[in-house]
Amino acid sequence: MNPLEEEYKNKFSDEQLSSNGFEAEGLWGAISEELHAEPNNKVKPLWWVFIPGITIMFTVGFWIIPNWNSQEDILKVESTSEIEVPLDAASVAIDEVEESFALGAMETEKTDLVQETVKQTDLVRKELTKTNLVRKEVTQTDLVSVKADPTTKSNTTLKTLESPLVIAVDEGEYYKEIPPSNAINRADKNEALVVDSLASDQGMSDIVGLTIREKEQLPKLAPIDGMNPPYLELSAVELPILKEQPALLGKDQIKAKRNTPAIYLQLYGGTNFMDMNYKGESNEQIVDLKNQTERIFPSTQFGVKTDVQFSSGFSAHIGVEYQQHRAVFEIEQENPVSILLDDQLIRVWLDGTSLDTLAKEYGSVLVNGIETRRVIHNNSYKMLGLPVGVGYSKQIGNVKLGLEGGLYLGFILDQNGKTLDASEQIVSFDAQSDDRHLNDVMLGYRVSPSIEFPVKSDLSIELSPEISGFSSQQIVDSAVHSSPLILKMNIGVKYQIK
Amino acid sequence: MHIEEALIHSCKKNDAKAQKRLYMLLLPYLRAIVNRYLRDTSYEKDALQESFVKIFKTMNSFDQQKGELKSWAVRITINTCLNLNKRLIGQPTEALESAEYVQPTESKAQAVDRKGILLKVLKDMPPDYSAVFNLFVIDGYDHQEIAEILSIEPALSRKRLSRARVWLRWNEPTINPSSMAKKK
Repeated sequence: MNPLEEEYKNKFSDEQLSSNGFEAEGLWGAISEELHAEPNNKVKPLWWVFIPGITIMFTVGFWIIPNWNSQEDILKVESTSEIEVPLDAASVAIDEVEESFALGAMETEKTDLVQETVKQTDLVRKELTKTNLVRKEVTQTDLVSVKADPTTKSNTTLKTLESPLVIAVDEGEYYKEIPPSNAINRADKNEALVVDSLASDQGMSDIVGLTIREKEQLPKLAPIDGMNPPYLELSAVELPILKEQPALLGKDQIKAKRNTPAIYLQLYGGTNFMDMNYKGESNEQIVDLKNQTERIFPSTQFGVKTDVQFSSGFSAHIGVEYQQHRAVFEIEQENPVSILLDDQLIRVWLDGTSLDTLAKEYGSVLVNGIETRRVIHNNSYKMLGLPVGVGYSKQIGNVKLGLEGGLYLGFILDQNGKTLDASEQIVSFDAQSDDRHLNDVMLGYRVSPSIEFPVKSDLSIELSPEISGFSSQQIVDSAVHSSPLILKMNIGVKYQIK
Repeated sequence: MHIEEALIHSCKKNDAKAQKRLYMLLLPYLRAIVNRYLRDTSYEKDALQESFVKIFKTMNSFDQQKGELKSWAVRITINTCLNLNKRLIGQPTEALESAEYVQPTESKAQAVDRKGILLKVLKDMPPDYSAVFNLFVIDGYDHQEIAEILSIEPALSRKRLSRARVWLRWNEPTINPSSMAKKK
């Protein structure tokens, strides 16, 4: 330790500054208030807003929707028939009906029916020889338990998070060349480029900040022989990037190139909508019917992806993701049916002279009806996907915008649901069925823009919509094929691992 | 400075009176630290407030077996100042703007201003150098400890110290104008 350092140590080590003139009480008041304040409702930074969203999304993705599959959905079959019942009016006599009322307790079980019949026959009291129609409405509901479940798919983008600081220089090569001074002369102007050397947060490389200051505002360095005014010439600052590119002098933002690519890991999830997009030239009617009867329904996906980002802004990525897709199959069909209705007729035999009742009979009748069947079912698809591709990103202000695209290889894990077969009949399908919609392996493309918000130097949050399309899916000899289109919205957490 | 164990214990229990007593004990030391490490002293109160809040909030993690409370508080304050310096980067500092300093003439004033001159030179030094110089020469940390505080490699800490020394040599005419005049 030289004498100057000894002097520094003696004067400043264990130094105390008197509180005279210092508002110690006022400062203590502020500290005490902060220490003993009730937890307040501070406005959180924007990115915290995403945390509950991510939590909800993953909860929905991992738990609720998969569990839907374990429940039994109700397939509702409703039949509403309007039947026409021929009633032989001649067989009913008003007196006899009245007599039926007089039967009292002995006939109570038929009283209601008789009353109904009376009402109908009352209309034809004066024309007993004619046949009239009795209208009756029958509604029945079948409850059939059918399993249904949803599925999803997705993928996302990764972009590098470049430092917003002015110039990054690899420590080993450049930093040691920076001299113990802080100004670079700009001979032609009354300005100097001030070099502020700062340590980076990660200790991996140093950040050198360059700012332009007026010479008059700079601290006066002591005059040294052969160097007056005391601003260093460019040659004295052996900063290779400045020597190689003198045009950078005077610019306060210089982006340094990374020599090695950055590697990112991204976890993401989101929601998707899949359109099966049925096609087929030979049977347009069934194609239209299938497109009309299947409705897009939102589902979820989640995945993990690695992204290698090069200094040029280009990147390459590969990932794996699990996605579910859902579609609601809904159809209403009408079919003619025959319905056997019990005790619809009252046949009475009368004595032709005395009009006394000789006998009576309650009979069934077979009538024509129309059955309306409405089926609602959740079709489900599950896929494991491998997104592979390239991208490009650019830092704009505090956010990074990017675009990436590539191929998507999908492996169908499961599919089941209901659909229409070639004869327009409702049929069930599963992963082995000839009526299934998707091939076991699918190849497609994907395009995804993205916007990335930095949280820390190595952590960011990314929002990325995505559209992906798949090659034509044709199962067995079906006249119908599909070219699924999927629209996704992902949100992810992206971490720089190198 | 000896700080009673009972006082530390009360502070850990969030006793406001004990906290204030400890605050008054530590304040002169921490003011000196802030004055030396903070490049823009207009933020002195901010740095002190942030440091004391950290000290009291993390008091339960302080282990008396591992060292003195004052040293622990000083280290927290140093970290706070270094972080604050980073946050203030890009803003013109008083040190840069007040380019001229007054040459002391009177002998008494010289004695008083000598410390001021040394401090000013220290603050004019590039931030990385002054941080290492402060930590190594004045506060007695070794390079391994400095590396932990600054999140750098020990080798870089050594390099910065040697550059700080070179920088001081360049600025010796400012520190000792009379000796330079003699040399000439």
